[in-house]
Amino acid sequence: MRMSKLFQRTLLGIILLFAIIFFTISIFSGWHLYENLKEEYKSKGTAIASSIASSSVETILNLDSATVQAMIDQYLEIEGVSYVFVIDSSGEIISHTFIPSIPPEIVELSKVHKRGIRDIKIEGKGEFLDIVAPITEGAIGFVHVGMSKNIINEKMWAVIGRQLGLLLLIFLFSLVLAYFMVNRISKPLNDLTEYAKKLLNHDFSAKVDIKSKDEIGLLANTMQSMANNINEIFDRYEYALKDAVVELQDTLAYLTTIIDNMADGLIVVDKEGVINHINPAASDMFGLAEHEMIGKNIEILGKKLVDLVNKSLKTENILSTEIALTKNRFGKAVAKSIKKEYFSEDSEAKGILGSVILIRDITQEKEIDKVKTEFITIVSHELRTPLTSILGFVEMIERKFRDTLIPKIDTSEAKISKVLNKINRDFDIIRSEGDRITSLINDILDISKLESGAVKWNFEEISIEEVIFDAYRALSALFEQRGIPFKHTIQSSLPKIYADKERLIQVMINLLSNALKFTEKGYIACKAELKNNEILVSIEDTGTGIPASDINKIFEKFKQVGDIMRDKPKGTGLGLPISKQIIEAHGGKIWVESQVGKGSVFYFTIPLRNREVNKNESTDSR
Amino acid sequence: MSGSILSILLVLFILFPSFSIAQQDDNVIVLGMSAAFKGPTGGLGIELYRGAMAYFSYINDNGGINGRKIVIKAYDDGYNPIPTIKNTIKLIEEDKVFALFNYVGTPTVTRILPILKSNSDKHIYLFFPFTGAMPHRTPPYDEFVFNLRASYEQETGGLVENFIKIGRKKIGIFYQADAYGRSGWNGVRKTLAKYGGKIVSEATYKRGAKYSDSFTRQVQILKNAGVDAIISVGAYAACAAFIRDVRNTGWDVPIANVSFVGSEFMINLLLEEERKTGKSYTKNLINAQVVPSYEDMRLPAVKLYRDLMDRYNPMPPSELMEKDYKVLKYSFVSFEGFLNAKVMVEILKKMGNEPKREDIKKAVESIRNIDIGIDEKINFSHKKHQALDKVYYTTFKEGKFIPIRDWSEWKK
Repeated sequence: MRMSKLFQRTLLGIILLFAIIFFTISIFSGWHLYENLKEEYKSKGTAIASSIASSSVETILNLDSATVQAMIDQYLEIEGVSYVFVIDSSGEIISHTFIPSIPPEIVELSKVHKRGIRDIKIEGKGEFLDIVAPITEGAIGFVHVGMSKNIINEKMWAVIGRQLGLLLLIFLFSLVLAYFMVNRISKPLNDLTEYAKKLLNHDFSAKVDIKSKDEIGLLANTMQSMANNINEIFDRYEYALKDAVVELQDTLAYLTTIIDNMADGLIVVDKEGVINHINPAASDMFGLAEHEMIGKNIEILGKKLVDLVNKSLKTENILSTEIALTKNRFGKAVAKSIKKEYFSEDSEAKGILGSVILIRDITQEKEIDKVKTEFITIVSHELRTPLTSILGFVEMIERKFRDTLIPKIDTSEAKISKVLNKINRDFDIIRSEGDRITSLINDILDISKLESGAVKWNFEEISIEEVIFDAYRALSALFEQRGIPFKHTIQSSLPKIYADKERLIQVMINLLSNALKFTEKGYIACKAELKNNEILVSIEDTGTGIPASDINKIFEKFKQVGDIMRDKPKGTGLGLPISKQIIEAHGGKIWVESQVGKGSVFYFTIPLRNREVNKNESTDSR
Repeated sequence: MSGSILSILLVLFILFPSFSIAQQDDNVIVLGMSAAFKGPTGGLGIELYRGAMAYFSYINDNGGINGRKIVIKAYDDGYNPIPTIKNTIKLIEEDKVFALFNYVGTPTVTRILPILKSNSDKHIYLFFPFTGAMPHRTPPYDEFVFNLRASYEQETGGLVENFIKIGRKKIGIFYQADAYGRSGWNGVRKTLAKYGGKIVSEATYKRGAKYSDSFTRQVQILKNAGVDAIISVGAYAACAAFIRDVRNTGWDVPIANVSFVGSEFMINLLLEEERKTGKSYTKNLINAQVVPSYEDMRLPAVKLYRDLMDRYNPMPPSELMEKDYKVLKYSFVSFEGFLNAKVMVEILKKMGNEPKREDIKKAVESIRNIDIGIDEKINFSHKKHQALDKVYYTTFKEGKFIPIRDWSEWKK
């Protein structure tokens, strides 16, 4: 079990303190014992020496050293007595217990030491207390008793050793006891530390098992309830997050489903042109599996799409192009750049992030269009030929009627005159209707040519001013007939444009005759100016205006605004679609702004220096 | 055969004290013996016992003392004073022995002297201890002890005189650091003092030293002092080891030992050493004896001693012996034991049909000119509690101890 560092240090301190105390006690008691033993040995030695001295008078006088020896031998058996020797009055050692011989130190000592106690050190034997007792006041001799200090030392050390051993034993016991006690305190602390570590690692399910009622227990409880609270909050957030995720997933799934089920092909590319999303329709259109497209550059899908994407990434405008698809299909690709507005503020996405390309399969439409155009062309040709002969015959009949019959007919008769007038009127009707049908057929042929691209353009440097005035001249009779003034404001020194003059005149005539058609009174104004590197032309009328609901239809084929059933059509209804085709072929735009009851303003633009663009545009739209 | 039967009987007596006590008053005279039977000096007790028992067995076989048989109640004290004191008290109070007999050793005997004095009302006497020390030859204890042998002072004094005669005046002494050694030392000192000399050098050893111990320090002390003769007062193990170490240094100084050494034990150890190392350890050795040589067949006592030793070959109780102990066929020690027993029998004989302890002193002190088969007569008196004074000097030659007729071979 690991003990807390705090307690380890405390325990170490206690050990040190105890060691010092033990040591001090042992030294002190050892010293005390030493002193006591020394005193005891001194008195013992003194007693022995006195005893020998008092009882050996007779024997010494008898020169009986053996008896003296027998006596001192007995005392040698007493513990602590190391040696005994007796000196006679002449100073000669007459009995001793030294082995193997009397040490020289003793010989020296015996000469000088006559009374009391002396410390003596004998080489090779140790230290002794030499105690002298004079025999009959030294007249007969002296008794020396040597008490071993070695024994005192040995005893002292033995006692110190025993004491230290005992203390060590107690100490070890205490240590074990202390260890367990400290552990009892330390364990909860350790547990608590471990628990805190677990909490730090977000393991809120961890439990800490401390049931004590002290501060640690309180702390553990507090921590536990804190952890529980945090855990609850975490749980709540987790649930909320789960819900949100589910919702998000649902939404995403919903969106994905929508995208995947779209009839149109969807391709999303990033700003590098790498495809990062497609839908099954797109996959089908290009005959490539999803994995063959995702992550690849858009260039695998053809140059047209590359151009489209490159352009789209540079603009926010919606761009489109037609492309060839697999299985002889055609598609219309519409590209729009993705801007960062759609992302949250925190997102790293910046600026244009890529482009979304929608591809619609327009094979069928194209087919129908083609069939329609072909049909119209054929029909128109088939119609125009007989119509021309009809109108020729009508003209011939009229001429013959007028030149041959009328002079021979009596015009005075009222009835005949009335019939003649009627026939003349009918001829006019036939002619005008014939003209109208011819012009209609021409228009139809015109638009089908434009749509089918069969038109031969005659681009050249021209002046817009000429165009405007040529158109006005063609219609000036009509203006006069209707009594509508023509105002014109043409910016001076406008640059020349590169365009098909006849076609632009056709557009102008279309727009001016349209204006005349719907204007009963007021004026028609034409304005031409340079704006944004384009020539902007506007034709303003004060006619009936176009309702907002119709404003988008007017450029569509065969869609004439107004009640066809009630109102007599005033044209073919193809003028505006044709104009649109022509303007767009020049790289321009045509649009209308109108207020019902107040009038309309038609605008078109012709870009300057747009020769190449025009060519490209014409190629693209094929 | 009869000897072994007796031995068995003896063992029985010892093993069954009640039996022995029951017999004591009527048929036996019990002598108490405390001696070294085991340890470094164990041979002394055993041989002393054997010598004594050879004669007692002979007496017992021949009707005893007025019909009473003599037995020895023996205890081992290992040559240590405290067991000796305990044994003595036991012998007096429990075994109620008739007298104490054949004690071995100075440090042991000197310590029981006060017991004898305190038991003087019981008339406990110690007979013929195997020691030549002075305490029991001098007041206040001399009256409780009877000695047969000469004193160590006599032994060593004689040695000193002989050495001086041959010009070896620088005498060193090697001795046991106790009363025994001091007795020998004192003899040397006193004798040298007579000639105006002093002990040139002395070295001691501790009682109980073994043959395996080293004595090189003692050898160095004496050698460094340049002594030209050494008198050795010790037990045989230590003395033999000392001689070994002296000779090992290549020093051929004459070394004289006293009777207590047990000459045969000492020489056997040295012969053993000679066999092991191939060196010579048994030359220039002088052994003082307090009994005549057992080789001296002129003496009737020697003849009887040999005869009885051969006949009885007595052994102490087995529990008193170390198993590997090899008995000596004859020895100065057992011969001394034999002579001790012979004198003891003479004393007991003098005490009549009903020997009483209170009569012992009177009986002994009345002995005059008894012939025990040696060339010296036995005399005791009130003032003389030591019967013999003669010291015999021997040297080891051709495998045996022979009396020294001429000291000049060691002349300097």
